[in-house]
Amino acid sequence: MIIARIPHELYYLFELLVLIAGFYIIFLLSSSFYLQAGALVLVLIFYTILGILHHEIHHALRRKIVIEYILVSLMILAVFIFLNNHKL
Amino acid sequence: MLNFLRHLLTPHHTNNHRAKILHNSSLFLLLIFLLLGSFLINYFQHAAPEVLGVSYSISENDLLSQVNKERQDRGLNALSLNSELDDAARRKAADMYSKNYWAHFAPDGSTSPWQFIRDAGYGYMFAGENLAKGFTDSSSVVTAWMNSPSHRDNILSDKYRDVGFAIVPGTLSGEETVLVVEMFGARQSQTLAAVTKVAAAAPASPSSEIVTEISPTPVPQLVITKEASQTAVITHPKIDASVTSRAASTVGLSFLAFAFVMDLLIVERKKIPRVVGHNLDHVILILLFLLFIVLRNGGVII
Repeated sequence: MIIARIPHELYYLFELLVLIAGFYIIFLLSSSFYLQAGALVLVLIFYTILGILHHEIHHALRRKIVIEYILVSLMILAVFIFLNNHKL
Repeated sequence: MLNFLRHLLTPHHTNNHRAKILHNSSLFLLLIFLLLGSFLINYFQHAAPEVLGVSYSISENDLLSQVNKERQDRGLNALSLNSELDDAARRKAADMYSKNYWAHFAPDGSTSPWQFIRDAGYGYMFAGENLAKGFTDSSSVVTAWMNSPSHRDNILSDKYRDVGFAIVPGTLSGEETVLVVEMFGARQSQTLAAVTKVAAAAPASPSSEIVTEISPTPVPQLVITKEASQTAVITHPKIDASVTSRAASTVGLSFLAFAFVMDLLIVERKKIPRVVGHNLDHVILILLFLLFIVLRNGGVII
């Protein structure tokens, strides 16, 4: 499978570029907390799916790995809410 | 203590070769702690705002002196504070809150900045408007405007003679915020006087900037009773929720990123096989989010 031959470096580079673009968009949406939160959720969904796919393709995927990616994503979202608490 | 920190932050046989703080159970506890912290902060902000809240220091006097300093540093005349433009700015802020929009022109087309200026009784030849929201101090507002070419043009325009401000707290699109409206103007009489003084000067022309307008026709001046003025929003709670949450988040996430990096380096060096997610993924995400926290200034301008 071609996708399995993609080197790890390219995977990380792709992830880095998409996350930079995602956070830049979130930064541009600073006029609305709710738009920013929506964009952040999309970025975190991408991050979780990409991490899971990477493990599925290159390594053995286990449930605890899926949970780890979800927990890290939820933690970033929780910090975002924590930071913007005074707006709610 | 040292053993506990090693157990918490570095992979070791005591923690199954994965820093304890990075175990799913620890991440879950951290998540619960964060959500609980958010809930408590939100509760205390409303229950005891004098103890826990956002510190604001935005005043008309500070805005005026900083805007005039920017002008005078460039050899321009100082703007005079005008009560009618103050009134227009307050009307604009009230309109944005009541119709729930954040723009120079109401989305339904019912109002424009120029209408508020006319309604306040200021017969203008030139007029302009700068808006800001979400800032906590006057200098951040003026700095943000000066860093934006169109807002800077308004502040440094030699067409204007007067300025007015409104600083109004409220809830816009579900967010608690403070709106700052800055209205610029020059009356027809002021402009004509200036043109007479400089006989060779080129005719005044309107700026192409959307927030600046030249009056199509002279407008008769009306006398309108000034509403209750709002010239400053100054709050000094004992604990600044905004600063505290930002500092706590930055320290906490840095700590987590450090644990992921240490875990990655030690396990790579010792070649210990484990079934865990890619630490590098998590480090990239956390570092980019930290960068976002550092770069965000909390306020926006249009």
